[in-house]
Amino acid sequence: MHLPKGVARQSFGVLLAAISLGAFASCPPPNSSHLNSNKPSNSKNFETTLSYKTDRSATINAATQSNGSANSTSKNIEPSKCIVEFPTNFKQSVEEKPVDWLARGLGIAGSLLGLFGAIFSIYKMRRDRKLSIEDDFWFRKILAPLTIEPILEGLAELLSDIPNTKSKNSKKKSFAIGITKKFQEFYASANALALMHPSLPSSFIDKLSRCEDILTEFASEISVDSDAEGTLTPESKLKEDVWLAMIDAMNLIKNIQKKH
Amino acid sequence: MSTYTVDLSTVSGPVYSGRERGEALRQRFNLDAQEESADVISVVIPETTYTVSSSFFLGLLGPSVRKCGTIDNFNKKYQFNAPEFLVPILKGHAALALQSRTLFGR
Repeated sequence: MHLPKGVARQSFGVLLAAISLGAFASCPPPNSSHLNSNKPSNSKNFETTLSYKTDRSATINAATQSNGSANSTSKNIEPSKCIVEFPTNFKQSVEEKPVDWLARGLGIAGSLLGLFGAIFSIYKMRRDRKLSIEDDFWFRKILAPLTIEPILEGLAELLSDIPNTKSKNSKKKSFAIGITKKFQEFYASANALALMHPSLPSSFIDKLSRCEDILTEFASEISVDSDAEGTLTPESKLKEDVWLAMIDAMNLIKNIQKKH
Repeated sequence: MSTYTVDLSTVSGPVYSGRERGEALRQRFNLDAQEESADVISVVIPETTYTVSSSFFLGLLGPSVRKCGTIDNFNKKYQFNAPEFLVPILKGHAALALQSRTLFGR
């Protein structure tokens, strides 16, 4: 799996930091209380050696040394009597130290968090890359110039020169047939929206046909109601209705993009 | 060969638009039954027509196009007597009807 350098470094850095934090948290502090509790007052470090000779005269050399002072005891002891002195904390020093569960828990949690962070970074990077390809390339460079922009420009062109009841019949006819031809082109180009979602072309065309209906109904009004201008749809209302229907169609595309 | 005629000059024009209007005419001309009995359906569109919108065409003839299945079969079943400039537009409407079964489905 190829990762960009920046993301790989970042993920590794997060993971390393979390593991380091966890390791640090699980290390015991230098002056733990369990070491201090039974320490003799006159010493800090203890070293105990015990040697045992196998012959009949056993020699036990228990040397207890403290900082700066040597306190060794060497005895020739009869086999029948053997006294062994041990430091008072000898037993405790060979036992296991109490486990600091809190530190261990923090360490494990930190490691898991780092691992999750690294995995999430990789997931997010792949997702952003996919969105970039879909949004930046396919939508902005293919679909928008091929489908969206021609529709918006064509609609603006149709609405720029709207005839009225007093216009010549040729102009009314030209306006009416122009609507049908333009929208046939729009429907054909809308098929490319299948790149975004398979069902988008049919639902987009369905919404877009509402624009065509509004315009052709107006064309029908001006073609027959030459004397009843008061009942005609005002031009401003016509444009408003057409653009609202167009926005309704565009919202389909916007919603599909949001879902991604 | 029996022919049934659908004459749009009996319907007010010159702009034929609106899906509901097309569906109403389909019922008025009883096209569902006539398709079964007639060999050819002749559609007459007056010369004074300005345009036929896609929604009107689909309301009137959409089910017929889908029933035929292909443009060739539709052209064999339905013959149009219309102004020259409308012929490619009507063909485009028929292609749109076949594009998606759910298109304009309401």
